[in-house]
Amino acid sequence: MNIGFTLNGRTVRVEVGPSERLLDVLRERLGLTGTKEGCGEGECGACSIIMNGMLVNSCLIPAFQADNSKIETIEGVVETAIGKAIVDSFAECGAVQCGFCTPGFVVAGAALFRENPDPTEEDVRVALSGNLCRCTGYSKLVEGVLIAARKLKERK
Amino acid sequence: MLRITKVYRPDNIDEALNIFDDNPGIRPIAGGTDLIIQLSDSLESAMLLDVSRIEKLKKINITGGKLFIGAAATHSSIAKSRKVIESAPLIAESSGIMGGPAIRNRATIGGNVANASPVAESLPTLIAHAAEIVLVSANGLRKMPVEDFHLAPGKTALQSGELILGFEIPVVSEDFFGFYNRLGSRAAVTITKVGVALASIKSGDRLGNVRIALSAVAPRVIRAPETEKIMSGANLDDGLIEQAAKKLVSECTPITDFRSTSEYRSDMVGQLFRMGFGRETPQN
Repeated sequence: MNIGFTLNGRTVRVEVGPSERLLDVLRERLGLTGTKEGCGEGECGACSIIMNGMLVNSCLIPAFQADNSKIETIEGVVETAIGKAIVDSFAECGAVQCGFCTPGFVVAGAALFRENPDPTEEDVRVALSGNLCRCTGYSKLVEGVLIAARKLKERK
Repeated sequence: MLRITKVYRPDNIDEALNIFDDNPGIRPIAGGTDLIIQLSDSLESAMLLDVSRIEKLKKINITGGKLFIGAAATHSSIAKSRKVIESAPLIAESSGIMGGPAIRNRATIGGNVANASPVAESLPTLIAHAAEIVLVSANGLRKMPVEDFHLAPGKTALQSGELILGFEIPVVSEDFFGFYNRLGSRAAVTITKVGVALASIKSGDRLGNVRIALSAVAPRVIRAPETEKIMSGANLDDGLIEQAAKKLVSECTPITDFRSTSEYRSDMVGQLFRMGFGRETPQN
């Protein structure tokens, strides 16, 4: 099946089989390995991407459903002001240890800011609730997203 | 590993029904959050009928005092819909807490019901709200109460060639009283251990038209007719709530499995029920 979609602002066309997952197409065919596979069952959020403006788990999406969609991966998100602010804040407050879950958390944080630029701590906790981190204990990740929100607000 | 042999992506219902007729055994897919996992675990191959492009299946609207939620409406669209929040508040609530944000953006209410799990998040609230499921096939439309649709774990009354069109739910009146309390091992991305949904009409200190649906305490999501009878029309005081909580526990047949024990589930059915009325502990 020949599918086309916008990937981080560029139009791509790719031939996919009916059994291919979007996660594998992004990583193996298009070389965007920032999106990770953790559980493969939608529990951990390591494969988080933004599809048509919404946070989704790319491990549960058959690639053919990406046809005509707009997809943003961590590689695109870190180039945006929102993505940079989150990455900087994560570094600042030590929200990264092994790093495997980090792209998913950055993408989930970015998806939150698009909808709600001024989130409360509770909003942040709900927004990150689909992402697992086995190193940091979450406090620093929540703090990082809140600091990024404050920085982005001050810049305006 | 996924073994998908063929995919169809129709734009409308008629086209989907034709594909159904020509391909017996084809599996409908929308968000895929349950189906992709099941197919990945299976050794069998499957054909897929992707209904996610059919606009009619994503609709949420109100006609003639009834709320219609299309089968392919996502949980996040349901949870955020003003129409659902106002007309069937428990359904908005269950859609708003199921899975995590990324799952809610993909998973659909039709998929949740078709999957027919006794722990399905949408089933207790649909049943409490007296929802009917609308099914469409080449023979036309068929409706039935959602509680009659869910037959057993993984089993529904869906016939071959039938597609879930959506759900019709009576719009609640201003004196609606209800709650949906569920318990999992953590707050988010969790599978329900016990769920209690109650919908009723409140006048003064009395409840009428009480409908109670329980999840994860029987092979399917069940009503609690005895408890409903005790509550309907009676004066809502501590004594009644306690009597009803005990009756509710007696109407369940929970099992012990890897998620919880039957004793804990029984205790929690009563507790979640009490909490729905603002009582935290058994009242003596």
